[in-house]
Amino acid sequence: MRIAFTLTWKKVLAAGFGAVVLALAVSFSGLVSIAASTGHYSIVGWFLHWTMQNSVDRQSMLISVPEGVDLADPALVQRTAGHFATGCASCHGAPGVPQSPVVLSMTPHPPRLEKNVGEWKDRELFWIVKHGIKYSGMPAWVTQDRDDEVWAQVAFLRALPDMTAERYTELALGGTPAGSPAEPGGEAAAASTGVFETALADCSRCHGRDGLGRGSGDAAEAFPVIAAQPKAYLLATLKAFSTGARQSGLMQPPARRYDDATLAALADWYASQPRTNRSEPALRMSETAGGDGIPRQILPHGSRSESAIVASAAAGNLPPDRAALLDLGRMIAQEGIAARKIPACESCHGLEGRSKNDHYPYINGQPEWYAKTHLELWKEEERGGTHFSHLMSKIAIHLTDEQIEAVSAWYAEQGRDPAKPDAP
Amino acid sequence: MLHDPTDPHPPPEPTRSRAGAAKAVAAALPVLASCSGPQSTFTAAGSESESILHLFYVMLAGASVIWLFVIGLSLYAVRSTPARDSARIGVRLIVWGGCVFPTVVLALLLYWGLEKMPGYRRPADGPRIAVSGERFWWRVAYDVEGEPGIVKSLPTGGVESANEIWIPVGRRTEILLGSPDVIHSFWVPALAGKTDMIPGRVNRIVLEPLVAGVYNGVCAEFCGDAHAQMGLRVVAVPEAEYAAHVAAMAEPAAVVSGRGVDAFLGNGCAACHTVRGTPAAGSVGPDLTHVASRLTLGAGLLENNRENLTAFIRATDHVKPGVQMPAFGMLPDDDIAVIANWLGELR
Repeated sequence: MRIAFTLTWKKVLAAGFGAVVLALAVSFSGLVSIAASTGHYSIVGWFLHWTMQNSVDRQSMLISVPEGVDLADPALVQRTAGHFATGCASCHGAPGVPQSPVVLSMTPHPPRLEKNVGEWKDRELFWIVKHGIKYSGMPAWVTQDRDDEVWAQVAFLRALPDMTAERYTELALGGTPAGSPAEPGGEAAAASTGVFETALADCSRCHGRDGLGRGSGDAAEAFPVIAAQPKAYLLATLKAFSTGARQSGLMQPPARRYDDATLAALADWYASQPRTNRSEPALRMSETAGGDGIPRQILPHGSRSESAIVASAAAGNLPPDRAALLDLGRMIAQEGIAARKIPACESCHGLEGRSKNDHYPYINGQPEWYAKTHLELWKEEERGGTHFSHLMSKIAIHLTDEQIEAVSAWYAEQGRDPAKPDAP
Repeated sequence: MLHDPTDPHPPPEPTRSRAGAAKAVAAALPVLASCSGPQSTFTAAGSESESILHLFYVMLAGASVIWLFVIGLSLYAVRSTPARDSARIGVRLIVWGGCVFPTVVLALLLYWGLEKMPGYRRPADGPRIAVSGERFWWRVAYDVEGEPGIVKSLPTGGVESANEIWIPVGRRTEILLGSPDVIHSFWVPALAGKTDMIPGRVNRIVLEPLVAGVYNGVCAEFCGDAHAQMGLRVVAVPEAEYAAHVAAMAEPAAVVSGRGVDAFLGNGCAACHTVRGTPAAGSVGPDLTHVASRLTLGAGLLENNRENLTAFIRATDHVKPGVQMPAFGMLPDDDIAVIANWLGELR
């Protein structure tokens, strides 16, 4: 038998139109079940999963672990453990934390991560954590501007397969056993009485009750120091996290969890913690002028700074490179580099004479990575914050990578106990 | 078109007749009269700008004569026929009119122009002032110790000020020009030509004002967003007044304590600004020790009054888009007011 058929443009158009109408008709009929209760047919399940795997692989092709990020770094594991507990474990479970039958009734249901993170490359994990997965219930990272946090989360995922329940409890829940108020689902707990205690426990999982940050040994300095920061700064920052004005996948969720009154109480708590037991370094604005009352320069910092580097580099017992770096950092912090439009950090962030604006935090003793990361974010204009944060982007934009490194290193050094100069 | 042998180089005393003549010509030409003002080359108030203006008028007159001649020749050529003029006349016209005449005229002009240059380079006999072009303002230091020859960076020290240069009338003041960031160009049209300010190099220009007055200067090399708002004032005054002004600029600030100072320091203004007599010693931005004594705010942009000071602190980027100073509108109104009030007292 022969079927006489001539293909014309008209017929092609009609077929296309017919296909669209048919698709709409099928959807309109309601015959397609979207019930999660039934799961997928195995072939559909395979097809969807295959599509997802291909997508993740190709989309992440150009991503690689950034220089300076070590996924085995215990500090990164510590930094994101607390977020895992509230952001991830509620669906994926965690060591010692079973998945709820509720999430197991999802289609597709979230996998146990300790079992199958090994199937994914680093870049793929990064891509999934950052972008999430459509139609699956996997959310994207809260902000797309904080790749540093996403990489830290990937480091945590890498540590997950070998993690014991005790270790997880220690890392993520501040040593309190799973099942206490800080367990997954803290949002609901916050509404009940004792909100402040709940909130403080929530903060403490990472920042400690003393605001100095949890983690010790290799994981020390995993968190910024918030103890004794000005209350106004802490509150404005928490509110900035809450509104999303300051970007952080780790801090936006907890800041949104509590109302303004609770945030104020938390700010008050951490503002009244003692700063550290570390000694206070002598930080002074450099002299205003020579003895003759003549200002220092018209084009500042020529040969003078070089001689300063040599002088104090010789004084320390640090390796020469490190000493020179710290000296550059000291110069930026205390004097600035006016010719490069870099003012002295200490003029706003100094510890002394705190008749300062109470929206300016001190940065003495902040971990090196913290100052560095945030200066870089400011430089890229990806760092919001309080109503004062735009001041920093005007400054950071003039800093070179080396200068950022130097000043971050110097500030980190200021918090170290001089009695233990080789403290990690 | 020939060089006037009586042209005095250098003029020991400025000849008033020249300026008078220039003014007369300007007044005679209504079109040009509208070009006068504190920022005009037609308001020639310096020895160099006067000479440039003279050059301009002579060239304008010469160019007019030649233009009329060429137009006449064109009209003649349209009406001419091969029968009336032989090819020989044509060749002669090309040789004399097309080769010899322009060569002679241009050579004379070149000679005259070059001959003027040593005059502009006569050594200075007045003060030496360092001016650094910054995005988007002018750092000024009076009485600096300069080095002769080619140097890379401006000398340090001196009495610091900003966006306003006072110079003595009748003296040749040497201005050392530099820049820490991008190329700017220093141009005070009423006093002299333009000179570039190049990072890593010090250029020199001599200003010799003949008439006291306030003249506008501008940045004449595109340098960024706020290039068009990068202006300065040059104040030419008698020598005694100049000395008094610099002495006054060298003094510390008039008011060095009070709520204004506390707010200024507490909010970190001192990170960038110096107010001598207080701990404020930042040198990223302009020296504010005597900010209230200046004619303008924001580098020649706004009239200097309390209202504009407040507006500038509150919304720098609104007043002067591209400005490097961040806006401080997030400070409490009271803080802004006490700071503006204090700065307004720093005469």
